[in-house]
Amino acid sequence: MIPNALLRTGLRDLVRRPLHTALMILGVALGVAVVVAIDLANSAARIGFARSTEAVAGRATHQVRGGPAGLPEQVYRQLRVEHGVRPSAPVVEGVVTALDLGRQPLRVLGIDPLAEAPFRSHLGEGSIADADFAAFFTDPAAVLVGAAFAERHGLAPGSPLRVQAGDRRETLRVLGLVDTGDPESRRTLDGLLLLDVAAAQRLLGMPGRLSHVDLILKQPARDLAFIAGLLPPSARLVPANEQAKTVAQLTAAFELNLTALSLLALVVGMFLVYNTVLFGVVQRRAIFGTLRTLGTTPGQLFRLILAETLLTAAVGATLGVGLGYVLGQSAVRLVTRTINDLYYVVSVSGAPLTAATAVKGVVMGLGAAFLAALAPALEAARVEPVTALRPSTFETRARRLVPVLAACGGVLAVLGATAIALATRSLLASFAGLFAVVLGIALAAPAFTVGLMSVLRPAASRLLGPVGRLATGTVARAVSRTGVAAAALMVAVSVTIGVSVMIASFRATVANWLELTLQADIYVSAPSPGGARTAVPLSEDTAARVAAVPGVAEVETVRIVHVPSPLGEVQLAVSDATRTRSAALYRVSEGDPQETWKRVRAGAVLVSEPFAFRHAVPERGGSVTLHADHGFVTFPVAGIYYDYATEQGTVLMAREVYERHWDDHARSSVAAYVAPGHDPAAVTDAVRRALAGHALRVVENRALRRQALRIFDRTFAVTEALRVLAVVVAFIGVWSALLALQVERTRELGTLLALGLLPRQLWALTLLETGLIGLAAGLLSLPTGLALAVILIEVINVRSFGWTMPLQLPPLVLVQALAISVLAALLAAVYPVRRLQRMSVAAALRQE
Amino acid sequence: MPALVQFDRVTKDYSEGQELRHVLKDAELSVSEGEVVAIRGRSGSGKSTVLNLVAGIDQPTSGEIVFGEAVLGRLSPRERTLLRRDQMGFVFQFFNLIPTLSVLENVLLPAELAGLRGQRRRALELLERVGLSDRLGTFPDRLSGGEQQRVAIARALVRDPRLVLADEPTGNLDDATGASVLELLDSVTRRSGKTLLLATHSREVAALADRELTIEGGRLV
Repeated sequence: MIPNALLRTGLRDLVRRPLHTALMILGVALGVAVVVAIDLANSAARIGFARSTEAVAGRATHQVRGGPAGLPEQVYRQLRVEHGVRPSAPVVEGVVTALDLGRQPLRVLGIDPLAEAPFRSHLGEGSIADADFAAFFTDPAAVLVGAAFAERHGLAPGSPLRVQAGDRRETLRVLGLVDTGDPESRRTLDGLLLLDVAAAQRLLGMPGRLSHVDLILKQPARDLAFIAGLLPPSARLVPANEQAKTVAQLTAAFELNLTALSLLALVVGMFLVYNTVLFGVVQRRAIFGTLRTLGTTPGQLFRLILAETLLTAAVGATLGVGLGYVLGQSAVRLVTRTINDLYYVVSVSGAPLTAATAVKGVVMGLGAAFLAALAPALEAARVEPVTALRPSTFETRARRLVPVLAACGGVLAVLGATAIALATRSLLASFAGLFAVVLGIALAAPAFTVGLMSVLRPAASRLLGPVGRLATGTVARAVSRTGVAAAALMVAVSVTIGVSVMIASFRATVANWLELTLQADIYVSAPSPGGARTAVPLSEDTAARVAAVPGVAEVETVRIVHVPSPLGEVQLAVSDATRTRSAALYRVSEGDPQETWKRVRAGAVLVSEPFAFRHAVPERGGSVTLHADHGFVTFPVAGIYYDYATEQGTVLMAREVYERHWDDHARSSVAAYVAPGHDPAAVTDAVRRALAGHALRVVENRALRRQALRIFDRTFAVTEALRVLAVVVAFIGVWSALLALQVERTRELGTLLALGLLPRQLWALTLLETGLIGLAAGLLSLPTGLALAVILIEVINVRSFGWTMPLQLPPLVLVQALAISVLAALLAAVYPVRRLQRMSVAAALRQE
Repeated sequence: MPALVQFDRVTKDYSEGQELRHVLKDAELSVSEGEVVAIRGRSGSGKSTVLNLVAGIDQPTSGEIVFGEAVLGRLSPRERTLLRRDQMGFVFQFFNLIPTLSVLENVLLPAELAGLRGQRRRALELLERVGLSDRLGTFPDRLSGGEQQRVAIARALVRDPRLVLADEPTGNLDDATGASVLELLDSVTRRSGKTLLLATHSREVAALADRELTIEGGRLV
């Protein structure tokens, strides 16, 4: 227990030192805000996807699914009519882009209202206002939309709704609004277009085909085998949540990466809390000495410091949750854009703050503050009634601790490196190892700072006289705070180096890969609402039309589909290329590229690097089993190729092989080579003219590369934002440490001023001190940042996404890092010096 | 003897919240070159304020302070700093040594701040005189209170100042150490013909001075 009187001194102290209390609140608030923002963004995307899945799957327990081209609709008729399988309902599902609603992706759900009731309550339990229901069956452009969605976008019955579906633009008509009393169901209707099955087939270019047939099996043990026996080989009977599970797994690594980065901001915030609490302890040493003399126990002082910290942290964490909510609204846009670019289509209108996220933020903020306050609280508990009046006691003890901390740091870093080396596939263990390495080096920062000062002292003394000697001496002797400031800044700057080098290496690798991959001059595809997973089929004659354009020498096509396999759903890229690709595109191949492609055309497949990593495909002698229209087929793997387009991995197959096993003749994109002597720009225009009337995207090679790199940069926008936040938190940490240091040294500086130190010398002294802290942080951040970059590139990237890439070191990054360190430290000195200048020397001399 | 320090109707007020506290009111003071003057008074009576005003690190509310030929009120802050650096030495109650500098470096500090080189011999002589020539490389936290104050005395004299200001120089020392430090301060200043202005609450300490002044009702009498 803490006696009331003691608690009162603590609380009054918090009020009497508003700046420091505010700094501690800020440290916790910023850390918590970043964690909450990322958590909100991640969960908003997850919830958004779950809702859209729920909207589609409803109460179905199982689904009958077909191959890439869908399920022939006769399968449904046979099941329902001939074999009496009920409840069953046909579904046509797809994604279109709303042209007038900010190009947001909308999910299309084609249903049969007569079979719907047991599955989804969109129509049955809700009220369809103002709908001429017969038109739902007869008007192919009629759609129903959720009432809340309609209200948000100003839609009403009769409103036109322009959408892009594949390579066509269509104008739909809002037939009515669907509303339910239940707010949860209302949310599942967000971004959903309900159409009749036939209208959806027409809109999505799936004549005579269904996406799946929904079933509710009351006795699966009995029914499964029976229904499976009725299906053709191309169809599969799967649990209804199978697809949702597969898709959720896709983003797991992406989410973990973001969470790890957000935790880093919390760790840097911990430095800030440590500094502030320690400052409070050091400044009140005399008071604690008196309290100890009066009978306060060490335990009571220990608890007092923790109670003060937790109280302040509670305020900070609460503010952090609020700030996190605000930041989360921006983060959710960045995160969903990346998920749309890379993974799946999700429509998220906002990131509502959930109790779970708020509690998580507060608990993490309190936990971080508690950990950060432990050492200063122990220091307060150790204050003896006699030594309390001796100001140098704490620093003497801190100096003795420096080598011990460095040794502990060394052990921690080695343990971290070992964890990374041993846990070859676990991403969580890799991140834990990464944190251990960085924290280990941070623990060695005080020792490095002291060492650097003793190296610099003779030169600083010679060049700058007493100012040089004083500055190096102060930085070394006040190591309890200068060392911690250097550590905090070092962590932030090394993260900047690590992340910058990783992004630069990644970007250079992707740019080089794009150059090798995109060999054709012109690319034609339908604008898709999402990334690679939603590649939409082109009209049948598109390739022939392009090939017929004068100046086009040759065309190649690619079809992107998703097929089931024992490994889950697999992305399959089907190519009819005849040209040999560069050997640099293959990480592993049997024979030269020509030989490899010959094998592919003969029936083998190539797998992308992430695919090989995810599914542990061996470098030689591997195979991949896929579910084709006539059952499972095993294909030998002829090589592993570099592919940075999707992290879920791709299997590449020759078109002639694909058409042997799948009844699907569609194309997702066309690549055209311009004949020698023709101007690519002119030919591109001619292709555009030839395809007039189709809403297709026709781009030149260079533009496509630029666009790909733009998506790349967009993907790293969140990372960049988090990196900047970490530096901001570190800057505040350094600032508070310096401020504390200067406040602590007020009398010492007052003495110097009384002895004749000129204002410019005071500036020089303080700037030199902070500059030296920045230099120590900057110098230590170079190897740490590079180690971080190596771990991010060689370990985290490979284990998260399966991508390998050579490390590229832009020399400017290191110079920038050093400059950021020193500049942040110098800037942090401005306020403390101005504060000292405003204080009279007489007042400074009176300071205890 | 010409006056080194002169107060002409000096008033010094401090505001404490809404209240105004008068520390000095039309105070007059004249200290001659080479004189040892003690200013005695209770805690909070304004002794340190007098020293701070003489040093130019505090400004009077009204009145004029003259040091040598300089009227302090007419000097810029920089000129006051230079005057203090070049012509005054300080001895504080809490020693105020710089913890990051060794004994010798502390003594050399005022000279180095003024950009003067070649003062090492003088610093060594002074440390010899205060009996610390064997502790040159020691840092302040390794010294006793008496030793720290002896370093501070050596530091006060290193620039060969015209005036030494000592604020309760024995206030933080035990009686025996205080007496020896005082004796040292007295001997080194008198022997080198320095003017010493001493603030103390102690009658015994004040007895060493040529002249003793007390602050009564804001005046020096």
